[in-house]
Amino acid sequence: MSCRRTIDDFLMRYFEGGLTLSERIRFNLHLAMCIHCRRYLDSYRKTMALEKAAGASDDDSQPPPDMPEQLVKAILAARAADET
Amino acid sequence: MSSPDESRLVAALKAGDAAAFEQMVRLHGGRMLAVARRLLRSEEDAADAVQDAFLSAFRGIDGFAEGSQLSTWLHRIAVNAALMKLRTRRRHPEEPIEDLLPKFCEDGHRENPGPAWSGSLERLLESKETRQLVRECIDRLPESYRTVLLLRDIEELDTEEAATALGMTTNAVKVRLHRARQALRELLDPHLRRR
Repeated sequence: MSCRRTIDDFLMRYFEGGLTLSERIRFNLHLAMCIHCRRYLDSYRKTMALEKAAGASDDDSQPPPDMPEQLVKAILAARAADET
Repeated sequence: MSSPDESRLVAALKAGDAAAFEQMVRLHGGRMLAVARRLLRSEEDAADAVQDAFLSAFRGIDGFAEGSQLSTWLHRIAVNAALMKLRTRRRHPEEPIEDLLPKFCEDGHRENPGPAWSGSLERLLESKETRQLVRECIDRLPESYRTVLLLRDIEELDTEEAATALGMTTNAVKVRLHRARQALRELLDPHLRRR
């Protein structure tokens, strides 16, 4: 199995849980023999973890900021207009 | 908000209580604005999307199911409102994602595979600079790929939900997500690889 097939096809289906048993065996065999693909998998996993952490704000332990008062007023006005 | 308090708020919302609507806006608006800002990257568009989201919530409150979480329901409405806003924006031609994907030789090996990334994941996660770098690289992704990445990996919609929200097949979402992750990895690689 080529590195291209490992990275482009099998890796995607690995994370989606879509590899058959024999595909998993082939995937793991290739990884056992190919240091470049092992490193790629490691960096791909780190990429996923880093983007999730980056998506959370630095102050995720704090409550989210209040809404700008101008926006609150605009929303309330829009609702009032919608009711009439 | 405790469940009994939330049940009372929902009941008041369904009865059309204006004070309850204001309470909902003040309680949940901040988080919804944060979601819209992530997806839209424009303060004005994010504010418009949140306004649209609250109007949708107001009109659709009778459809809110007992036992559901108001925050989850509103989060979904905010995501949909932001996506609607994205669709109405004037679309600029996107940079092709292929330029950001790994390259392969004819024999199937990767061109210039390079060294491993330095640092454990824990160390990388601790670094504020790394998190900022990741945000900047996410912002460099072509918009349609960035959107799928944000919906699946940050907003945590499942594949079917993301497909419905984006008007795509589930397979298209899976392929696009994988390519977005690969492209993000390529953008991060020069900064994080071992010297």
